[in-house]
This record gives sequence, structure tokens and C-alpha cells, in this order.
Amino acid sequence: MDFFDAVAYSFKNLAKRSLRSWLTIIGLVIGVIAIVVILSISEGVNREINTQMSAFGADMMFVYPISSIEEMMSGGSMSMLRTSGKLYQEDVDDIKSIAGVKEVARAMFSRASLSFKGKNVSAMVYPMDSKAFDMYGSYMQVASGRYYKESEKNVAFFGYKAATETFGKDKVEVGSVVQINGKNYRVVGIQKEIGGMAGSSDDYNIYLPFDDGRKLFEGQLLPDEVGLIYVQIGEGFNVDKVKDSIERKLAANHRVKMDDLDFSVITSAQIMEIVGTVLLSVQLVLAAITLIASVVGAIGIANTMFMNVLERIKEIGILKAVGARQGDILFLFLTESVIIGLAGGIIGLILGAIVLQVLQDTFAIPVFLRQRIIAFVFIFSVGVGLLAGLLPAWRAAKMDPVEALMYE
Amino acid sequence: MTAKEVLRLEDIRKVYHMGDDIIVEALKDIDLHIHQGELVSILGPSGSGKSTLLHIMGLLDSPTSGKRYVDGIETSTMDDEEQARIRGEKIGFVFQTFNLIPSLTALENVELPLLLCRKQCRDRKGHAKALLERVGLGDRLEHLPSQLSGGQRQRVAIARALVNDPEIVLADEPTGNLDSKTGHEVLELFKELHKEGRTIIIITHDEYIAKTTKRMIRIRDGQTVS
Repeated sequence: MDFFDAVAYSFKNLAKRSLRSWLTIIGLVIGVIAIVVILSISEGVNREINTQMSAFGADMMFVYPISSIEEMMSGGSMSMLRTSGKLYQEDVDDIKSIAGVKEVARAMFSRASLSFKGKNVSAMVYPMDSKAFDMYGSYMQVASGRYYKESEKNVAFFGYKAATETFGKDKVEVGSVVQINGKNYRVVGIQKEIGGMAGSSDDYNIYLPFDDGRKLFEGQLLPDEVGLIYVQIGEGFNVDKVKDSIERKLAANHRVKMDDLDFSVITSAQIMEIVGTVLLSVQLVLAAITLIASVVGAIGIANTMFMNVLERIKEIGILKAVGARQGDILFLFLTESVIIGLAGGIIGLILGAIVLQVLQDTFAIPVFLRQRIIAFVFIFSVGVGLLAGLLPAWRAAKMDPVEALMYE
Repeated sequence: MTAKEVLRLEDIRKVYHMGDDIIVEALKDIDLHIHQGELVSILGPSGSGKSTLLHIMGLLDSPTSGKRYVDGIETSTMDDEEQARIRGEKIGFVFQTFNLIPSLTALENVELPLLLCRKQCRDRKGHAKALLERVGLGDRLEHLPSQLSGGQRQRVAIARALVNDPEIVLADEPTGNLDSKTGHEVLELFKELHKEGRTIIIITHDEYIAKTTKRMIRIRDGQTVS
């Protein structure tokens, strides 16, 4: 029996038992949708994080104080008074003098009360040296207006969502004046939307020139205290060596031992590594879910095919009587289960793509339906059809012609 | 000029083992020679072993001992796959219950053996159609078995049995599920096919049917009786 004959024959039989065929296909479709959606989201998230991380630059390093547990528990900001774990201007100056350090910027963040057009809200505010914008590279870009200059006073630079969402319908624009903790700040620029996972928090930021902005929170800071420090490494320098130098210098400043630092230096490579580990474990969980989905789908097909064989014992006998060999019968039943598998795969792929589109449009979830995923779904659905159909088809093929013919 | 021998059975025995020590001897020392162009009936009551004989003649089953030649080829020791091949090429079956495949149309049912043939089968549709016209069903090609009467179904089955141009047509109680008038028509069709040179073996328990054939072989308790 040649391939096209077998396909035509299978279709006739599937059509004859169309309700059962469709139910089986639906069972598989659900599994395939799960696979398509899960793989595409994980691929999308992965890709987005990678793009953002690479925009971020691998030459960045962050120095931040290690907060005491009590402070973390109280939910306070980094800049509250406490006994250990602080960074100072002296540290900034010392880092600047370390070989391999290209640029250093200071930043801090704290919650402030904002008011604009009669609306009062509470939001996070970031006093930050303007050169940090350059250090962030392509991760941060200006949509309208400009970044502030270091020397400027009473100016602010708004993240995209900070400008569009903080005050509800009243959008903050370049030239708007926003009150922060009672003082007037003129908006000089709005940031281009970063979007995605990272942007979901960074787009809400409101940046102020460091020295000027810091004054807003003077009561919460020690003189010369700095919230966190951005460090950019010069080209060709070993990131780990520079990191080590910074740690030694600051440990000396803070009079702490190297194995008991009250601050932490983290490189962008380390961040990527952490993110990568988290992503990997998430993907493993997702892989387990898809595995379960596929096993369920496969069992559905196997069940249908067994029923199929049982119901068609007589037919198998007839086929054998007119000259069908074991291989013909095997081929015929396998074709049928592969058709079910493939139908489930194609329909699942189409519905999965629709689900992905909705997720992307409605919830801004990053998705990426790679060709690799599409290819995988095809191989998967054919494979599930083959595997699930193998045993029933084998049983059909091995049937004794006399017994099959006499079966009523 | 003697016609060639299309089927020869020599000392055919078939033994079934039911459980540990119950042995049923379904066929004993069957010797049978069928020549090309013969119309033969095999007559026997139920339990006589005629179904077993049919299965062995049709290569659906293998004898326990003895030799079986189909068209001169020794087939008694063939494996299942070889038997299937010979079956597809040299045997055509007609069953009491028609045994058409319900999801296929009359034309597709007749075409089915050609789907399975290993040789390049030319013009399957045309050949199947011509045979359906031959059995008087030229206007029922696209009907499903469920849309046909019993007599019509058996005609489709006969067309299917002929489509691979077999050496032997084996008919197992071909009128058993038909009323006497339709049964008679089917018998007439077999006679016509016989006149056209077909070799036909009809297995039946019905003396009347058996008597319409030129040659009759009686079988009782697994043995041929003359």
C-alpha cells in the first residue's frame, strides 16, 4: 500500500469516527498549545533579557551597601540611618582612582511625595549623577527633551511610565513642573520606553541630579553618604581584577575583613548569570509541564487507536484476506495515528499562535515563536502519533487472519 | 488437453490444541485437486471442517501437515508474509457476510486488493469500475455498503474477489445471508463467471446449491467422502 493510498484510507476511517477523532485531536491540541505558549514565552523572555543585558553593557559594576536584616524587615530604603553598611563620598573618590575604572557615578533612591496638577502620589525618586545615563548605554535613551546636567538644580528626568502613568490622565511632559517633597522641579526630559521585564520597573523611575536631589532626603542620610555606586570598567581591563581592587579598597575604608564585607560589588556578568540560572530553573519546570501535557496527549491517541483496532478486527481480517501483509496493516494504522498527531500539532500551533498574540497584545508578555519551536511541534506531534500508535498498530498487524475474519 | 492444476492438497491435516490435552483433528488426510476453470462445491454440515478447509485453501491458515500447492507453488511451509502475497495475487474471497469495508464505497471496496498489490497496478479505478459493471452495479459505484441491498453487497464482494484476476475464487456460503431469489441470482452469476473461465470453489452446507455445480466434494468429520 503506498503512502497516498494509506493517507486516503485513514482519512475515510477518521471521518467515519469523526467525533472520537476530534476529541482525541483536541486532547493533543491542548498539550501542543501549552508547549507552544510556554516555549515561546520562555524564549521571548530569554531573548528580551539578553537584549536588555547586552544594551546594559558587560562593563558595568554596581557597588551597594549590605543592609542589616532589621532594616530589610522594616522595608525601609537604603539611605536610612543605621550602624553598618554604608557607602561614602570617600569610597567614590577611591574607586575613581583604581586602575581600570573608567567612570564612576553615584545614585540613591527613596520614596518621596509628588504632586502635579493637584494630584498627590508617592513614588520612588532617584537622585543620580547624569553620567550614569551614558554608562547605561543603549539601555536608556531620551524620547523627548534631554538629560539634566550635573550642575542643574530643581530639574527632573522622567521614565516613560513615570511620565505617562504616575498622575493618571495628566501626563507629565517636558516643561511640566512637578512638586517633589514640596519643592518645584521642572521636567527637562522624558525617557524612551525600555519596556519588557526590566523596563517594567525602570520605566517608573524619576531621576534628579544627584547633589541637588540628595538634599531632599538629607534627614535620612549621613553627611557624605551615597546610596549606591555605578562603576564602568575601561576597555581591556579584567573585570574581576578591578572588582577585587574595589573590594580591597572599600574594605580598608570601612575597616572590615574581606570575608565580612558590609557592601557588595556585583558585575553585569554576575547579574546575567543569576538571571540565567533563574531562567533555566523556570524553563526546567516548564519543560516538565510540557512533558506531562505530551504524555497525556499520547495516552489519548494510544487509547483511541486501541479502540480503533478493537472495533476493526473484522476489517483487519478482510484486509488480510485480500492480501494485506503485516507491514501494510502496521503502516495503515500508524498513518492514522500520525494523522491524528499531526492534526493536533497543526491546530495546536495555530491556536497557540493566537494565544501568544493575545498575551502579547493584552498583557505585554514578551513572546517569540521561533522556527525552532514550530519545527519542534511538528516533530513532536508526528513522534507522539507514531509512538502512541505503535503498540495498537503492531497488535493489529500481528492479528491472525482467521480469528480476525471470524470475529463478530 | 488437460487444464492446469491450480490447487492441490496432499494429505492435509489440521490439528487444534484446545487447552493442555484436548486435541481436535479438524482435517484428516485431505487430498484435493482443482483444475483451472472448474466450478466445484464443497458440501458439508457445520462442524465438518469445511471452514477450516476453506482457510487452508485460501492461505489464511497453514496445515499442521501435508502439502499444499497453489498454481504449482508449494505453500504449506510459507510464512505469513509470503502467504499474504500469494493470497493477494492468486486467491479471491467471497464471504457469507460479504465482509465489505463499511467506510469505503463500492468502487473503493473493489479497488482495495489492488491497493495492496506489489506490482504496479495500472488503472485501478477503471478495472474496478469495469468489474462492478460486469456484476450489474455500474450505477452503484459511489454507494456505501450500508446503502446497498444484500444481493448488491454480495455482487460488490464478488467484483472485489475478481479484481486481482485470481487463479481461484473461494466462496464461503455466498448465499447464506440472502433470500432464495437473490441467492439464486448470485449462483447464476457464479455460473456465468465459470463459463468465462474462472475457477470457483463454493463452500456450502446446502445440498441444493452444491448440486448446481458440476463437481461436488462432500466433507464430513474432517474427511472427504465420495
